[in-house]
Amino acid sequence: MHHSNHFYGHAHIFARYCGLNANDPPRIRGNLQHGWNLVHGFGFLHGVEPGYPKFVWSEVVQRRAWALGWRDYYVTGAPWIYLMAMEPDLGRVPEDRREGTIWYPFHGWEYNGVDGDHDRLIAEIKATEPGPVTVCLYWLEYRDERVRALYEDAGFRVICHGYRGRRWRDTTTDFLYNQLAEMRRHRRVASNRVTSALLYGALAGCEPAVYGDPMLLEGADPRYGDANRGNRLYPELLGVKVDLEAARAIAERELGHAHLAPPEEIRLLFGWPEPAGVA
Amino acid sequence: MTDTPRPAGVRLLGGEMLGWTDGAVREHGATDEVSVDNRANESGEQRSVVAGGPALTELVIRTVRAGDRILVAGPHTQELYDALAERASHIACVRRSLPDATRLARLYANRRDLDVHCGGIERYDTLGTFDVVIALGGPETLLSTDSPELSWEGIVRCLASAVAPGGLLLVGAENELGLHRISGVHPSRTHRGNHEWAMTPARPAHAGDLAEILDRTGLPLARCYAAYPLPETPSALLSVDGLAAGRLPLPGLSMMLAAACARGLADRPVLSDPSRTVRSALRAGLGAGLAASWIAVARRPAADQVLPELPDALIAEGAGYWSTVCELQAEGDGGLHRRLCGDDAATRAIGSVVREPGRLTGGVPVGETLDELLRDACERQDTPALRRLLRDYATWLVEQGENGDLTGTAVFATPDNVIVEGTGFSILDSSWEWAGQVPAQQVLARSLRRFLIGLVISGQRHPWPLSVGIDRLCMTLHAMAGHPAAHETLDVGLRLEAEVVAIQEDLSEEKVFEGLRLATGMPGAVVGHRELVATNARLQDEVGTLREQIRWMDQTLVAKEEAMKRAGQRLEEAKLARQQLRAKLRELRQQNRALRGSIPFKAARIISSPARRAQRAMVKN
Repeated sequence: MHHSNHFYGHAHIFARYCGLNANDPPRIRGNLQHGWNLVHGFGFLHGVEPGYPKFVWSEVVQRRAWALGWRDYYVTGAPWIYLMAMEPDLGRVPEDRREGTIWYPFHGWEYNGVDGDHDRLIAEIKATEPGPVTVCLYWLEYRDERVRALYEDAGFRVICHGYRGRRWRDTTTDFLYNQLAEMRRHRRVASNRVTSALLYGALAGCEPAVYGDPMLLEGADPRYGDANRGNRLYPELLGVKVDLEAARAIAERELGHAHLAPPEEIRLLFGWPEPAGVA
Repeated sequence: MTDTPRPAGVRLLGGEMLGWTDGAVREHGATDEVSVDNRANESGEQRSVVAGGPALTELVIRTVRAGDRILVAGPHTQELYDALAERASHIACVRRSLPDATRLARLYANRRDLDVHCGGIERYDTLGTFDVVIALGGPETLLSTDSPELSWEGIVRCLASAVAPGGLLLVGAENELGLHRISGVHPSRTHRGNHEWAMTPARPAHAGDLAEILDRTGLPLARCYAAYPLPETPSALLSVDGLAAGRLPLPGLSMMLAAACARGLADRPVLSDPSRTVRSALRAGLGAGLAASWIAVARRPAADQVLPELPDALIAEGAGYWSTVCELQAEGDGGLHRRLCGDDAATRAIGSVVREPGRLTGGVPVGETLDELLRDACERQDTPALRRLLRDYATWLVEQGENGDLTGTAVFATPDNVIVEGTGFSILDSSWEWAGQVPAQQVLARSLRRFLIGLVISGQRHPWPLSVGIDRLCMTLHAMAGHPAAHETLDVGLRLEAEVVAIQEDLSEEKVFEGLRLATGMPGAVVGHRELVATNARLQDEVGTLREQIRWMDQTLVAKEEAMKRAGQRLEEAKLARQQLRAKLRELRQQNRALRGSIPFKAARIISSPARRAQRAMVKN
């Protein structure tokens, strides 16, 4: 099946949830949605295997997909909600000790770089954030010494949750664990676009904020819509200070919070075996 | 609101559907490139959700005053937008599909008073209110994939909030129990085609439910119409109150409604011809209950409110160039008054077919159509009644002309367009006429053929044996009508019918002719599953009859063959005997010749020669 099932250790999280070996997740008979997007849950370049089901985060993804001509969807909810269910305390600090902001600049990927002014963004972050700032760069930008230096020189703590993985190799399987632990010690989560990380943060108890130049993806496929599509969809998330209740509701909707399925159901859906030791 | 992006003149509200169109044709819809498992178009009904058509457009025209501010939510036909653009001072349009919205904005790019907004209706933040809010395709066409799961009432509330005091809301509600659903062969949602994507909040269960929802949103109902035969593009709108109060006279209405249903549902797979069901529904008081949708005109109360005058019914009929819309108003004495809507009463003509729409205005003859009475008689196998009806009709028809020729409206006095009033006949729609003279016998042949084909295609019971064939059945009807006809008359009647229908429906005359000749199809005839079952039964019966005939012929043939064989044998025997006799004769002759040449014979001849001479002399004397 497509190697994106292993991105960010998603398959590994599901394997652990199902009582199977988290270091060596069995093959999933289907395609996992691996990131939040505004179309059918997958990239247009993603060679989704025909005839196999697609396991997605939310009903709204299923609806968007249908309207685009895609079928065979099943809403499982995002791996994030399974991780949170398994790790209620990972990285947790008392509420009053959560501090600062974890900031996720909009990232590119192997095929499209990001076109934007990092200096202006840094100035905006500095002018806005009251407490210490951790900038979490995507692995691509993190590896770029120049970009990393920009944020480090600004006095921010610069981190990376790990490598997404490619062709089942070098995956940071505890990517989301790192992310959850980081988020639980920060008070705020911010980005210049509505992204997976922002929604994760909102569910992990951070106060979300979206501001700054949304930046452009070079040669972005117009089928995803324009750069402002996500921001337009959720104006409630835009701004330095947003309505927390509304933000949480959006995160729950987009991450399929209500769809957390029991391990037996996931095993059946994924075509996975019973865990060892079960008669 | 000011900083909202407006690419291509469309204001983006959020949740715009990018690869989607609500149009019947998926111009910008999901492409193969995107669809790894697209099962669209494999099955399912390709039903457009675009609301409009002449009847709804007429209703909208009646409700909009010059200079009104209008909000049009959801997909509507261009004719409807055009009609609004002629009257309104400002039009705001909301569409969920970006390709549709862009197309609309491009279409009206030169109209500064028309704004196009794109996204889910719940995101439409109006700066002001509107005199008329129009959502005739139903609230469910207003939610985008990214919309929250609003209830039907919730969506109506969004619309209601945009209605100014004294303003109107025109909203359509599809009836889940509508005739189109009952007679449709496809499940309402098969979850296969892309076009079937929809968030379908529970719709009002009946017209009363709809009225209550509107009441709760602060917009009491001013008028509610039962719409037939399709929810988004009905051609008949009948006042629900008028039906309930029995104000609308049913016989005249049911013919028009049946025709509307037959026309609207022709060319699509159905379970059964809805035109007969709808007659029964009207008789049973279910006219509102089985409507495809209800079209509500609701009002936000205001002190000085002046409600538009709305008719009891609006009926659109005729295809393309020939189409007309009429309003119907019940009259106190149980009559029905019809009036042509709009100002286009000009004569229309193609070939010898002429239509004078102005003639539609006037009282509608109230009674059953001849077609219906003939069919009833066929159903009952009541041949005396059939003979009487056909004879009276033929006599009346011939009397409409002079010297055996007919002209004008009489050529269109076919059984489905003739109302039987007591013992007399009158023409239901006298707007059609024929320029030129046609022999009355040819018109009669056209009429009888038209009735017969409808009867046969419907699969209905009739008194005649199946082995007779369409032409002979037609001849039988002529004979029953007291006007026996030869093949030539039948042919010219058929030709006339094909010519008229081809012109009226803009079809190829040859194709129509073939369909009519073989009674395999006729424009406007609904071929539903029930009709197919009936046709199958008819064909099975025909095959059975033919098999019987073949078996009998086979047996007869075998018997005749055997008889022939026997006769042949006898012939052979006789030939043989004859040959034997001939041979015997030859032998005797030879013996004879041999005897005559012998010496004793010659000696005897010499001795007896004097005696023979004496005998000859005696004979001479």
